[in-house]
Amino acid sequence: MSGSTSPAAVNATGIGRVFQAKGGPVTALDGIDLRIEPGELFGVLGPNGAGKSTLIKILSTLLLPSTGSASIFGLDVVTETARVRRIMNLVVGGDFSGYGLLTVREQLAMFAQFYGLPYREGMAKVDAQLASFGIDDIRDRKISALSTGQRQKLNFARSFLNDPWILFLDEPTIGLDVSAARDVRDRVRAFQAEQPGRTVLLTTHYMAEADEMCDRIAIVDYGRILAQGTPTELKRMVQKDALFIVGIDALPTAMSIDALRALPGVISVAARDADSSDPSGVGSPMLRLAIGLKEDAALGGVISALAAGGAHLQEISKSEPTLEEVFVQLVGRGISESDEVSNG
Amino acid sequence: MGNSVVGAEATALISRIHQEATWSLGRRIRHAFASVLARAYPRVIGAAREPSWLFFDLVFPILGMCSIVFLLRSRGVDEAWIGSTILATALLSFWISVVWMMGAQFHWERDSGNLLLYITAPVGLGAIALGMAIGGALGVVIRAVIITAAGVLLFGAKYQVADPFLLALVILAGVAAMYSLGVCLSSIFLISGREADHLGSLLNEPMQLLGGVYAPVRSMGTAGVVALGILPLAPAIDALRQVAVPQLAATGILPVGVELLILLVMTIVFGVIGRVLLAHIERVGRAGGKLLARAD
Repeated sequence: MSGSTSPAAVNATGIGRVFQAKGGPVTALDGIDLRIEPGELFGVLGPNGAGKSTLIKILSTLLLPSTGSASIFGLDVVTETARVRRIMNLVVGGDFSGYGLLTVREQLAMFAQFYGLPYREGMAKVDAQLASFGIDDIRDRKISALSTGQRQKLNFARSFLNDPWILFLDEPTIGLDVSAARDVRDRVRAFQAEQPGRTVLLTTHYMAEADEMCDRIAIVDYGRILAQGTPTELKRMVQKDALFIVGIDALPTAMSIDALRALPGVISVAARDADSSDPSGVGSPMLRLAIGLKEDAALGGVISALAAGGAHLQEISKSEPTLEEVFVQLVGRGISESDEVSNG
Repeated sequence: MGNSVVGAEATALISRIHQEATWSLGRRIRHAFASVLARAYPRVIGAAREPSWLFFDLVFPILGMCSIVFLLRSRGVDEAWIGSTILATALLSFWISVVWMMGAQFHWERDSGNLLLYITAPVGLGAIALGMAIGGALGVVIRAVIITAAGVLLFGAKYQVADPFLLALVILAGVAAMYSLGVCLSSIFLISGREADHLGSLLNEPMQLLGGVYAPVRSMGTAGVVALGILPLAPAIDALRQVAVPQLAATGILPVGVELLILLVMTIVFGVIGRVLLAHIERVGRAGGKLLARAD
């Protein structure tokens, strides 16, 4: 990807950022190389303190890099800030910006002017966004009277006003309930679908959100990108072989686990938990076998061997690793543990 | 990869985006003007939305004015000074607005998250500050008129304005110079961080004294002359006293025309310094990483 000559939405080379703190310099970013294609929804996944927000601040012109360079659609974030700001927008999670005395519609109208929209066009956009986010019924409510979810929908509505070509989302669903977070994610997807080329850079430490939304993901920790790729590619990094869970009533007496391992294409076989197939716990017990295969086609031989031995097949499923498992393998700890470390 | 655009299509797209990112001078001017009005709006509408604010903004200045008037009367001072005190109190309400609603504003905007949105929007901080100033001044006009009316009704103050145009000019020049200084203060408060509140306090009572609210700057000797040169409140009140209360014209330290000129120069100089400081805080903020956005 990095060798592509096609113009990029985001092109960052060797981005580093060092903050001067009382205890000495703190490296927040350490040589980030990143390329995001126009139209991609790119996720940056990492624990608190990994450097996600610092990266977004640099790309959104709020912060200067200590080293390296970055451009947004070919516009340099350091030297062409005014032009970058005309084509971008930003949403920060837990944001309580705005003026409490203004109504929702007035707040959006004010930002429409800041974003350079002619008045009539701006007001039409405001009304369209109010309807789009389902907050038209609170258009005349003061900002100070909004709930957290309503405020974040307002923030998103604001960020869509100028039809940004790139939208930076920094932990945008933090603090939102499940329903509000889903609404927001749906709107982001719809926003991208409306116009090819609209690009989204999302930082999050919610694994499921990153897995569900992102075309590609970079996993960062201590200011470095540890791995990047599509969610499927990342998962393949921790599981290169096919893993199936096969549930049977019992292992045939004439067959051993070792005999299964000896079948063509089989890499590993492990008995997992033996439990009841019946949720009430009264039904016949089931033995689950975790079977690693070189390729999916080898499953047929295993099933045939089990059936020939007299085992009754009760369940077959393909097991895929989660992003959490990818994260643990790359970072060496779970994201929640990482947050605890970051928070002291 | 989802909806990604590559190859020739991407090249065409980026060419289009570059065009959208390039604004003509006319568009930039229209945008700045619209942004000033947009930022002024919350200031103007604020007083109407929260009548309690108007109440508290009026009660305390009027109480302060009453205490000075009663003191003056108890000492048998010429009634002309009563009228002068009322006008000074009215003008003082602009100064208090400058300190707290201009000076401390960016500090508050940073903590609320607004400053981050301003910086990342294609609007300059200069337009935001000018909007704050114009909106703030318009919002205080009602307050100043009510304070003056209350003073006239309560104490029967009388004014002899020979030239209403000159009076309006003095008020306008004084307010412009004060808010121009306010643009500088907004940057200084932001840089001063936690000391912003102390800075605000420093700019209240001592500046009221040096500004000639309680006594003409002429009576303060060298301090009065210095105040006249750096503090907009001083020439504004001194000129206002000469124009609206002719009996006290002799207490003026300089002719009204000269004081108007001083206020004009202050407006320009503070405006230029303010613009430089705003550019400086954006530069320092982007370099340091702490000035523009609240700590995570």
